Amino acid sequence: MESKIEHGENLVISLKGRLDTVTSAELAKKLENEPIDEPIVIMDMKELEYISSAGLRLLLSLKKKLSAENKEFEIHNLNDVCKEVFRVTGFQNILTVK
Amino acid sequence: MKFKFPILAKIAILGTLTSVIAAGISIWVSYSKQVSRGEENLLSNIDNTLDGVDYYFKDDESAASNLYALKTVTDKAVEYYQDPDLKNAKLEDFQSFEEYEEFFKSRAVWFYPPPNSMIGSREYLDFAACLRQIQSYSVINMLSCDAVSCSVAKYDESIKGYIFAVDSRYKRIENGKFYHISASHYVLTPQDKFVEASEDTYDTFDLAGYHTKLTTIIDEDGSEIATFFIQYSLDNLIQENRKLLASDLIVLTSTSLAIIAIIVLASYLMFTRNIRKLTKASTNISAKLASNEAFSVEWVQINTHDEMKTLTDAFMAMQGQIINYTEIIKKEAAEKERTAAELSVASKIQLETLPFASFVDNKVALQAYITPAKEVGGDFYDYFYLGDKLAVLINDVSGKGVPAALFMMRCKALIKFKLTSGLPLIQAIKESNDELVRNNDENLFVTSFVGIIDFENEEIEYVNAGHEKPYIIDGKTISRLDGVSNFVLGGMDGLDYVSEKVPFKKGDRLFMFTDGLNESINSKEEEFGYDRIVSSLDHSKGDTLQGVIANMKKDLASFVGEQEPFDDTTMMIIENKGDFHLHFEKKDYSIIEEAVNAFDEHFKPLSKEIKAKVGIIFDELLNNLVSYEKRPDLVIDVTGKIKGDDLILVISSNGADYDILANHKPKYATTHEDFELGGFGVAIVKDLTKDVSYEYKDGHSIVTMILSTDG
Repeated sequence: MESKIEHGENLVISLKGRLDTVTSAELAKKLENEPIDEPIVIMDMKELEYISSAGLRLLLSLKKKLSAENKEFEIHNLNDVCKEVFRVTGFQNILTVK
Repeated sequence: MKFKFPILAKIAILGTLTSVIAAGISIWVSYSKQVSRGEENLLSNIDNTLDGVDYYFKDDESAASNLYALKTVTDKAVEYYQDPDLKNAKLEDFQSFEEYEEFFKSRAVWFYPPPNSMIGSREYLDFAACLRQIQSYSVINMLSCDAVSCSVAKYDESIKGYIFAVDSRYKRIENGKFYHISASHYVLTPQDKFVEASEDTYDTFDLAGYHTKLTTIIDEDGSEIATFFIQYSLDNLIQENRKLLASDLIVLTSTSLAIIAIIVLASYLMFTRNIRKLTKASTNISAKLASNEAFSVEWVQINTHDEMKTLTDAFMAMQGQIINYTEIIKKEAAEKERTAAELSVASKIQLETLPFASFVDNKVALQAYITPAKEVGGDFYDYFYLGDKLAVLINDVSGKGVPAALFMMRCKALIKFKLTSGLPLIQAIKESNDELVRNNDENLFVTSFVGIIDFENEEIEYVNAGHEKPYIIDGKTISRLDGVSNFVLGGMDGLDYVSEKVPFKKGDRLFMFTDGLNESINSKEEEFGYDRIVSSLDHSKGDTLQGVIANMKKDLASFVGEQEPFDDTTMMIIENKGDFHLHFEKKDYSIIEEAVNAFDEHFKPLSKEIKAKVGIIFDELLNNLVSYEKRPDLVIDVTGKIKGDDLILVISSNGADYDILANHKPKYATTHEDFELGGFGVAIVKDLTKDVSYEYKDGHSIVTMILSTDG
């Protein structure tokens, strides 16, 4: 998986490939060291092929962390498979999906 | 418009040639005429002169004044004649000729002295020369000088000649001939015609460069008294003639040229008037033809009744024919266009009856190539499943074009029908053959290779009916399917066909082709041949199927070069992919990515969505096994196959009997605070699959999933 982090008005994390057991761990590590000063963090999943429960775990912990800092976390551009995963797991209710 | 050699030039050249010839003839004619005409001119002058003389002698007193000199001469002659001494003097009476001569000299006028103005003039000298010639003529003829009798001379301006008189006593007629007798009786000038000479008759005799005429002078009694010689220079005559000739020539030539020019111009205008009409009409017609404009007959009015009229009639008839033929050609062209359009559609339809050139499923990958069709043809390939087995066919119908194409369609439908109706291979082929032989008056036939790939037993059963033998490419070798070659289909009925079987293991490839490939020739008339096919296959062993076909096409193209393709070329290559089966003997998260990538590769034609679902499933289940299974010697097997529209995935391991499906129930939350993870993986798996089941069998924990492949 490839990820691209862009600072600006908002922090935009663009993902490409698969967000699974292995790649989630990689991304978590990467984000840990990333200073987040922006009020809104957007995760753009336009080019993400799929997300597994390991990926969901990462999103949840990120959501918790950002909420504690009073920051918004938005998920953009989900494909159909990811939408389905969000739906079946109830993530669509707890994350801002756009 | 430019003519290299216009009619005008031709007419002009012909006219000029004619006129040159005509002029030549007229010059010749006129020359001869002019000669006599010039002479006549002179003679008439002489006549006039002598008429004067006659007159003088006849009427004695009234001499022509312009003949003064001549009169003096004749006076002398008459006087001389009338001198009785002289009259009666005879040579015999003298002692010697000298005496005789002296006698005459003393009496006669020797030379009439010319006018003073004349002495030293050219005319006088001429005269003297003339006289001397007469004298010398006499001398040459052994005469004593007869000049004594030439007591004459007068230069006549009008005739540019000399008139001199000779005493008639020195003339006689003997034996019908005229003799001018000298003192010694020698002949001077024999003149046959002069026998009948009368006062107005004269004849000629010439002496070097001079023309001489004679006439006889008579006295009152009718007696001859003298003979007059009128002598004039031939040079004069010639000059006179030339002058006349030149002026005549100028007149003649200029008249001829004028007439020729008029004729040439007139005939040019006359001829080309009609030609111009025809040209205009032709130009109109060709312009209309070129612009594809409809045209009616162009009327050309010709009033002459000559070749032009004939030509025009033919031209008019031709126009009618052109109109007819144009109509016919237009119709034919439209017909041809329609036929071409239909053939093009037919060729498309024919190609559309063939399955896709590329095909991949979980068992097989296949790539076909057929020469881009300009027209319909007789080659075809086909493939279709017969249950779990795949039938692959390549065929080449004899002949070309529409008949071959129609026969091809018949073959294709028939063989597929027979095979799909569940008949064993050899029976299906036998029945197809019998069916094709029936109602085949055109005696078309088809060479056919039909293979049935049995994935279960990893073998191909095939029947080769007179077709090019395909190649099997396994990991190491390329070998030909060298089994029995049966007779072609459609050739003869009642034949039994023999099939063969060859192994076709996972990774093996079958390369089939029509003879358009091996029989393609280059400019040296060499065939592409089997060796080049094998060599090309050998070079592209490691390539994808598309790569193998592309390589073969490239090799063929470079071999054939500029040569026009002789025949359609069809090729098909099939690879046995085998079942999707992964075997892992390691407890490592890396197996997840390996499994996902291997699945994507094996099941290439499946949609991205299915692949994403399988990816999630692999991640959830394999992650689970690697994370929670306690066995260090964990062995995991993953298999997948397509059955109908379903993808069946099986993940089995030598792990504990633990029904992951039963033990995990997701707990749903509305906020992230009370959100707990766990059981979501299983929930996702259940959601993404049509059916999922667990069993523990023979020491293996097995999860079987069914996914719908049609979305």
